[in-house]
Amino acid sequence: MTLVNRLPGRLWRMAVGCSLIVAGLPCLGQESTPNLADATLEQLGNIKVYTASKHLQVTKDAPSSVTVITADEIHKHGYRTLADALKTVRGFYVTYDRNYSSVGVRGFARPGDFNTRVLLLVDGHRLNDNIYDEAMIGSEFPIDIDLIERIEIIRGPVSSLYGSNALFAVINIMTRHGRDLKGLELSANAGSFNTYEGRASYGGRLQNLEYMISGSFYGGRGHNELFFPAFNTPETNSGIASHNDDDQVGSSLATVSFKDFTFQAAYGTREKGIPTGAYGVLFNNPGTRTTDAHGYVDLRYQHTFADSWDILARAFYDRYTYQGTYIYPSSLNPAELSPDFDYADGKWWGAELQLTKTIFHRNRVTVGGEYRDNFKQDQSNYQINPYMLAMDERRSSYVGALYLQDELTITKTLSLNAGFRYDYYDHFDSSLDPRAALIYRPRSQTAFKFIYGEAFRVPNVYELYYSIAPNLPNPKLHPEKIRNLEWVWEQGVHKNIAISATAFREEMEGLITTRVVPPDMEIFENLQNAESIGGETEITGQLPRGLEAGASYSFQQTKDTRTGQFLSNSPRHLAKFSLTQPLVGKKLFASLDVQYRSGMRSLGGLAISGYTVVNATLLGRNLGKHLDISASIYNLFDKSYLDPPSSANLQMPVQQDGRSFRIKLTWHPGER
Amino acid sequence: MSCQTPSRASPAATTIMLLLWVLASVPGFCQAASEEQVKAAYLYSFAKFIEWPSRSFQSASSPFHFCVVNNRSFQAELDRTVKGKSVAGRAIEVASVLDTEQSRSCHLLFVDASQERQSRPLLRALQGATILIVGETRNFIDGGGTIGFLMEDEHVYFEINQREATLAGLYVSSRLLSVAKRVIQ
Repeated sequence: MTLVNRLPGRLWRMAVGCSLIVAGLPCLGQESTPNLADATLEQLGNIKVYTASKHLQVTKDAPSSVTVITADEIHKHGYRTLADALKTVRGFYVTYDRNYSSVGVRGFARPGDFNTRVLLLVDGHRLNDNIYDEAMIGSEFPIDIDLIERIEIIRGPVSSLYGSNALFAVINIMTRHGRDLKGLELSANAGSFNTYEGRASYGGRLQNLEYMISGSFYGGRGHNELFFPAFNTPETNSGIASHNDDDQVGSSLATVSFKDFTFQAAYGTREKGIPTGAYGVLFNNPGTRTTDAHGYVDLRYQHTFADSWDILARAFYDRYTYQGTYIYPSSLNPAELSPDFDYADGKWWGAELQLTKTIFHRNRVTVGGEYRDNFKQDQSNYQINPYMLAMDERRSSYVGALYLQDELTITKTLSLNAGFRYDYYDHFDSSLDPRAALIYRPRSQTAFKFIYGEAFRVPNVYELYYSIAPNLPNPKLHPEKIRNLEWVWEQGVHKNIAISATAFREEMEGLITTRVVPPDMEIFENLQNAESIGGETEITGQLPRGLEAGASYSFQQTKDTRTGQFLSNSPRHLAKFSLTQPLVGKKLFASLDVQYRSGMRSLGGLAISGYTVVNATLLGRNLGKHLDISASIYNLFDKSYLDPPSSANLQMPVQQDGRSFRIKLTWHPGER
Repeated sequence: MSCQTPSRASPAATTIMLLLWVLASVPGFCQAASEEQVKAAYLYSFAKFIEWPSRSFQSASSPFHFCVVNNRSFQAELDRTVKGKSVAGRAIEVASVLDTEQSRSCHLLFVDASQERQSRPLLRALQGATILIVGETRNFIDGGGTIGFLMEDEHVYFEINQREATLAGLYVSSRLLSVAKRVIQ
């Protein structure tokens, strides 16, 4: 395989070295499988078990490399946002420009895009909006993280099922059921930077009716003072942005199921002060801020007909709005202010139908269709002193798609998962994206997967038409395409340890990325053909005393194939380590997270240093039966580190939070 | 060390080394039973302590069918557990099934946590069928399942929805009910 030859020699030496150490572990070669069939019921209840890595069990049959994060892990590790959880995922890295969080996968995180190459689903409902295609993962994510039951992360291109945006990963969030709440649940937390959060949820189940309703508020004043060296002049408050980093979120979620129907309504809004002086606004003026709001209603019907036809039907309506206020000096009189208002308003509805049937006992065939009508994709911009309407872009579009997938059991140990999806767009060439995964499972604890997939992304209306400086519009953009070849080895070792190794090669064609137009304008172009090759390895395990640990390392080399240069915002090494130790029975848990990201280059050519951040959380569960208390320290060693700037401010890396704290109380009077 | 990344002794290498060291230094971690082994043994016990009506078997010599929804590794574990065993004098067959249609011939059906999304239509479709449906997601028996596993303090326990069992025409022995953590009557 050419990929193997192209991996650097040192990486291979390293891999061999690591596997030798693994092979040296005690009792790896032995099989000690007690047969418990003759044990009594009481004896079975008395056996102390280690949990087989659920992650492995769930994922070994999956036709891709999958990571699962459960609610239990979210609580034990004190993750505050979806971004916090994604930071711990193998091969993922998150950057924050003090407004939006961006996720990078396998070396790809283009500056100035808004997570457009990751598809975010909530209970199967697409969350990427129809203006920026943004997958919101920071405090702007409209679902309270406490309402998440599980996060499934599927790596690699999956456009064959999901269409546009599913280039590097699909993140599917499953929310909690009413039956898991059993009544009321109240939660409150307080943290550094004057941050407070409260949530009230209520849920339950009556015969065929299941319901869950929840509302949350989050408010943070943010840093009282943030220092930006680039603005270190007396006119700009010596580079100090004071009281300019506030963050307010309100969100609500309601899910009601009756028989085969599930109705969900969600709404989240966030307002964030921008302290960075982005887009050349007046520095240290708290008026510069953005508000994003996303709400949707989704009706789903799932039924099995005649014992063999599984049907899934879904209809939804979404609304996304954005309002940005940017404070500039007036062009008439620099002593006066001229706020610039930037708006986006997106509305869309759609429907999906999916049928699954097993035929000839070997084929599980899924066929489906989807239609999405983006009937409003408007962007506008005006300033008020003097009044000038700078942009009024009203757009709409639609997409229709058909897909087919077959899970074919070839032999007891070999299966093939293959499919394709055809997407028809009114404004772009249609796209056909195939995917095939061959899964070989010679033993129950071993899985080899060989995967080929293609995916695409159509340019969004922001990239096409947004025309406010420094952006130049580019209506000639065309869809970008990715081809991915991946090899996965998953191995269970003695049931409580799971090891996985992945090698991949991704080829991007016509990557839509920002080009700087001298002196200081920017334009999106299908600029690059890029290639990323790399490998990932992960080990997770649970030991008898309840210690759960996991470590992962990923290496990637992402280059522009024409120039041979490394892409910006692309670290070559990522490493993660996490650990949870139960103390005092099942009441108290201590957790530790370590994340390492190597250095990288920003779009403006700045060198961003690597860093290691350590977070720690202590969780007391069911204290006095109904109270959970957790205390977290983030960035325990107060590591000072920078994230690369987004395109909004090319010359200025963004300082990240130092050590911070959070105390959280959750009261759940209902029986669990 | 051979686990070093190409640049210096990075935290990446350190964390991997640390984990391997932890794994290697904990004594006796091979001796505990796995969750899968214990659950497989429970399933066999359930079959012993629950009575299926004779109409659910084609003949007196028909085998007892254990089924697992789309999970071949658990199927293998269950195969190992029931090897050479019988249920009420019947031979045992273990199968991994993909859909409701294939599930119809099962006597005991295990739905693991990864199949949660499929479980709702499955439970609905199999309502009233003479099948013991066992799950492991939280509150499985509140959602129409007959027996649900739960994990507490590194031990596996189970709870029973006797109403569902009766609907399915299954007779649950009082012995099994007395060991259950929770029984819905």
